[in-house]
Amino acid sequence: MTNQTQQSSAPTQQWGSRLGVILAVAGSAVGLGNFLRFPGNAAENGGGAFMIPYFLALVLLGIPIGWAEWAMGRYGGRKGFHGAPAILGVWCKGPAGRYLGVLGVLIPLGVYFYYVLIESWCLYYVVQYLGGGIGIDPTAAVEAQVKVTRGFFSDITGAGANGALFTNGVHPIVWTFLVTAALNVWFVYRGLSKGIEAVCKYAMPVMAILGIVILARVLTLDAPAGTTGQSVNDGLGFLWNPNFDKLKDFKTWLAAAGQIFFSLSVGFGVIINYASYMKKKDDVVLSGLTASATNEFFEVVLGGLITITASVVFVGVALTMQGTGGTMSLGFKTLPMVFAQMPAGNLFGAAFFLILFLAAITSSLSMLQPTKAWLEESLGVDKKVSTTIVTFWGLLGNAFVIWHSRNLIALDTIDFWVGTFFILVVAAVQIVAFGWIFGVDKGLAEAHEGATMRIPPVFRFVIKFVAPLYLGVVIAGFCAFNLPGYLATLFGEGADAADARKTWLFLLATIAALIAITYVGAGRMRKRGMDIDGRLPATD
Amino acid sequence: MLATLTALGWTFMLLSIGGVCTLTFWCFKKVLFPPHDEPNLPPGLGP
Repeated sequence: MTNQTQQSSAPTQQWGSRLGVILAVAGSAVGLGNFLRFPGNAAENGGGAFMIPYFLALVLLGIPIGWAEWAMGRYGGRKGFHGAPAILGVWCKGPAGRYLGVLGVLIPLGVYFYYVLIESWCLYYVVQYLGGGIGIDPTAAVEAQVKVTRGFFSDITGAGANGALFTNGVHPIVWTFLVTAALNVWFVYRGLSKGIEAVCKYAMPVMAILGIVILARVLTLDAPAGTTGQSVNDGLGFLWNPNFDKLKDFKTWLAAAGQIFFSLSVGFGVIINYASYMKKKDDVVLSGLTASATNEFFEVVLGGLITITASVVFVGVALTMQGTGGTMSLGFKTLPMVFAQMPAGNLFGAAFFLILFLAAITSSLSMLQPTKAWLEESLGVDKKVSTTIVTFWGLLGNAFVIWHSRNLIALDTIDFWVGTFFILVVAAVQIVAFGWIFGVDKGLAEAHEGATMRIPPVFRFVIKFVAPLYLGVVIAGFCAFNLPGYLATLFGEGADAADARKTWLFLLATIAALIAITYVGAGRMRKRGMDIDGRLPATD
Repeated sequence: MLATLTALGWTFMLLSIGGVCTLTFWCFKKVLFPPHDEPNLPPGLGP
């Protein structure tokens, strides 16, 4: 027995192909934010000028941290580890990294608690559009249409009151959710190659083709009769005409970095797990870059041309601006009015929400896998047991969010803390571990094992100095501008604050369970002679 | 930003979309059609 690379007793899973792992990582990254959050963010923050800080953040933050995460994951896998706690324990050379790495399991699991619900909303909209739409009368006054879309959204989300989806019998969205959750569990149970990879290999091209078809239709739309300022050119101008004054505002730079960061899924705990199933000779440099580029294609090309343009053409700039305030608003409240006005709108509505559903399911599949892998390596259980545990854990979180639906406070609280703030923390841990603790030269040498392209030498400086500093500024800005509002809600008075505190209690219980399992797992791995503190090099 | 697409708007849009498409195409070309005799590069920093 080699004492440092004792492998797990469970059979190791593998990716079927290089393209498969790239599409799986890209599928994890491409989500609702690409189609809905990006265009709204860009329109609000300087239009075309937003792309300057956006691409700077991509090159200085997203791509280098992504490369680091791919390399860290593969290195951890070579030592027999697949969970973020064990892999970060190796890279940080001790328990601090291991317990900070618990966040790398909490993030995908916690985001799954609410993300699969949003995914089921998309599926519900697809079904509704295939059945004739959501009841908007396109000839009615705009105010009446707004009322219908908001009412429909509030009805399916249960935003009116806690438990609203169960007050008059079980709302049909609950059955849609159960179907969605079952699909997720089934594909994750089938494993990396036959489940996640197989879904992504079909879903990603289908999304791209559907997106290009819808894009072609949007770019050839005529402005409705009797309207001014609602042509395709006006829609594109609304999004792409640069406003350079916005570049003087720090919040624009923060929004751009945030968009890149959360869009690429770096620091999410997924890439590190997916890469851990790669072999030493598998390329991570080109694979990481390709996954990032694919995500950018869906975001800039499809997201940047479809949603805002169609919205301006059919409902004008004023209503579109109301919708750019958030992902939910543009996607679920404004765009249904657009489809109601559009010729063959039900068909395009169904196609659009199918794209969103596919984008969501390729992301949510990636959220269960890290927890499943980590349970297997920590507790030594097989895939049936790990899938059962992760299914019930996920359903427990889903049930909490479904029941605490009033004003979507539970969803919003988990999204902010777990799906936003903790991601920044994990990314910071990763880039410091890669550039400083493990050492940037050793880290880059590890990344270059099996590489079919080289990381340009300038990235040595970027990874060691620029990315940590940039990330530090982003975290500081985030704490200054975003944190106070959420802390005020958490420690405030009233029903919203009470729901936020209940959500935090639920999260704390989840974190405690994750820490306990990590502790048990560390002891178990140490007993088996595994190098959990990263004292020795990988030997394969 | 309420006007029709300006020349500068066209420039930003085409550069952004063109850049992303070029990068995506280049990456997939390298992944799907690797040179047959391309050896794995040795570890270490680039040239």
